[in-house]
Amino acid sequence: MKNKTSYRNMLLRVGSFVLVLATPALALDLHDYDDDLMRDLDRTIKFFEPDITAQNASAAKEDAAILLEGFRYTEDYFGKKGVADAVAISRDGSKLVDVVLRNVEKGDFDSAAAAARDTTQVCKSCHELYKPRLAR
Amino acid sequence: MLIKTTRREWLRNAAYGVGGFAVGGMMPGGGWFGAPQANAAAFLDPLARKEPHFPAKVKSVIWLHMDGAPSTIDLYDYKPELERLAGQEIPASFLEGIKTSTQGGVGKLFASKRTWKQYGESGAWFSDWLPNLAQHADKLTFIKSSVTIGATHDISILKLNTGDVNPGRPSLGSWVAYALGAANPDLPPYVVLYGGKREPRAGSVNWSSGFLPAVYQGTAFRPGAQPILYQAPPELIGLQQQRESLDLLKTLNDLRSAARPEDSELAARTNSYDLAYRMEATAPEAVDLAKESAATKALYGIDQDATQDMGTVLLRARRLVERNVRFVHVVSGPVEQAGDDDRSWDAHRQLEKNHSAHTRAIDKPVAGLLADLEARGLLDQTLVVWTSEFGRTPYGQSGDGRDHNPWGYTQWLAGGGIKHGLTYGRTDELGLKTVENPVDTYDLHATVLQLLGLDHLKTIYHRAGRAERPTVVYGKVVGDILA
Repeated sequence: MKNKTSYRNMLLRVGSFVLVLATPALALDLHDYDDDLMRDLDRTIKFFEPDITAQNASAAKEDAAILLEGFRYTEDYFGKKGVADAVAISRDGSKLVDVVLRNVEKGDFDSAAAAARDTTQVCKSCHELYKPRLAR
Repeated sequence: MLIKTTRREWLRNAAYGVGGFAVGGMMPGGGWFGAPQANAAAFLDPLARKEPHFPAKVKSVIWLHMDGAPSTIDLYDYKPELERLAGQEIPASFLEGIKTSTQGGVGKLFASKRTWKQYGESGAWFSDWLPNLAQHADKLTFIKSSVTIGATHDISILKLNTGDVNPGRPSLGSWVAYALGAANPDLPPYVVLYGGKREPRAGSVNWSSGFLPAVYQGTAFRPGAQPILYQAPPELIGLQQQRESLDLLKTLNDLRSAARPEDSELAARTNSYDLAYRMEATAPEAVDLAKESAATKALYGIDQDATQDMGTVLLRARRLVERNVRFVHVVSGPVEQAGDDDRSWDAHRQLEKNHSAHTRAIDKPVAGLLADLEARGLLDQTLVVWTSEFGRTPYGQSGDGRDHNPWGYTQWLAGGGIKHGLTYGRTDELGLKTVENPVDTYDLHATVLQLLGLDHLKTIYHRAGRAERPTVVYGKVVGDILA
């Protein structure tokens, strides 16, 4: 229960960042972000929950490793640019992946899948800021 | 950085693929290359009726895709501020947080020549382009905060129907067919109808079963008396002769089966022959409007040139849900009077001409559909969904058109299990961006499945070691609109 509350708070915090900081974020020059890494993350996040729901622990752990690497890279990348909100979002992502891993270890795949869905929301929140939806 | 794949990993992933197919073979309709597998232990009819996760609110869905993307700020989402600021540059504050078109540019704010009025007890706004649908205001549940990805029509249409921007995932109707099976064993559970004479430009990938077995894909019913290609028997073979041939085949197959009771391949094959035989009669009958009264046809506008095409399509849709088809996927057709460039709703220019023609073609038929479903007691057990791949921008393009808008547009639902006369979500004062309760295509899919009694998180198909679901890894049921 406590865990659920803390996830909710985490997501609320991320949502607040999106609302408050959307404008200046768009002015950032992000051309040096590793696009290949982002594509890997985009792909892996779509495997993460399906691997967990299928109770495929080894695949879920491999996904988690890629996502953790991505979140750490992103935290470091935005840390160097002094973008606190993105750093916080990345840390939230890492924490959620850790929750997934702990639950996978325990064999609690339902809780792991729920945390994986929250991880997806973290990614989406960051994209709302830094990958604005394009028309056309 | 790319994901590096070692030989060992590749072999392991390949093994997952093999395992996934094996698992698929144990599930209804699973098996190699998606072919319905008649497994040695017991034949499972892939289209057998299946129980939902919880009691369903509706039995069928009519999914109305307005191809080309209507400007919903000219139909439902009234914006007085747009009229006030028309002809001016859009204030920069409205563009914050979005990346606008690089091809069409951002033109000056553009107001069409609409007059607006509120209808029903709900006071829902309709423009003068939809006078007939407006009479059903209190039956509708508006989602005025729809969002999606608006790269191009084909990509966004794919997302609207399958939840992904790349081909390969099953369409929503396929998931419904997979999860619930057929309620009528003599008709496909998932039927596609389209306006015009040809299949829609975005194509059959939008009713594909993707990685689900092919038996769950949508069956496109063509206009005309014979809805399914090659379905009618050859001219010189009578029904009786065909029946006798099938009976002989069945007798021979039964003899073979008796010697090999563990092999159900033949039973599966015989079943499919019989289904095809039955559909020779049931499919044409399901879309034959000859027995519909003149009053019913007039209700759909079949007696008028402008509405004949979509009226016919929607009356066919009603007949199909009446016959318990689970999911009827309707795609609006091209309208000749809509313009020279593109005859879909895609009004990059000449919005007035384009949307006048399209609303004239759809308004009466869709209003007729709602009235007819209600009169027959079917509306409470059917879900009608007005969708489009995106909306259109309040800023103009080409002087008298509008560009694509994935940031905020209107879709609506009508029928069972929802709060009627409700407006959910909101766009900004100009109708450009969603500012309250965004609803992405995944959320709409999750909600439709919920109303059919399906939990989108538990509607699972095992593939390549993964548990795939209809809403990819996203989607939340829009609980606030449920009754």
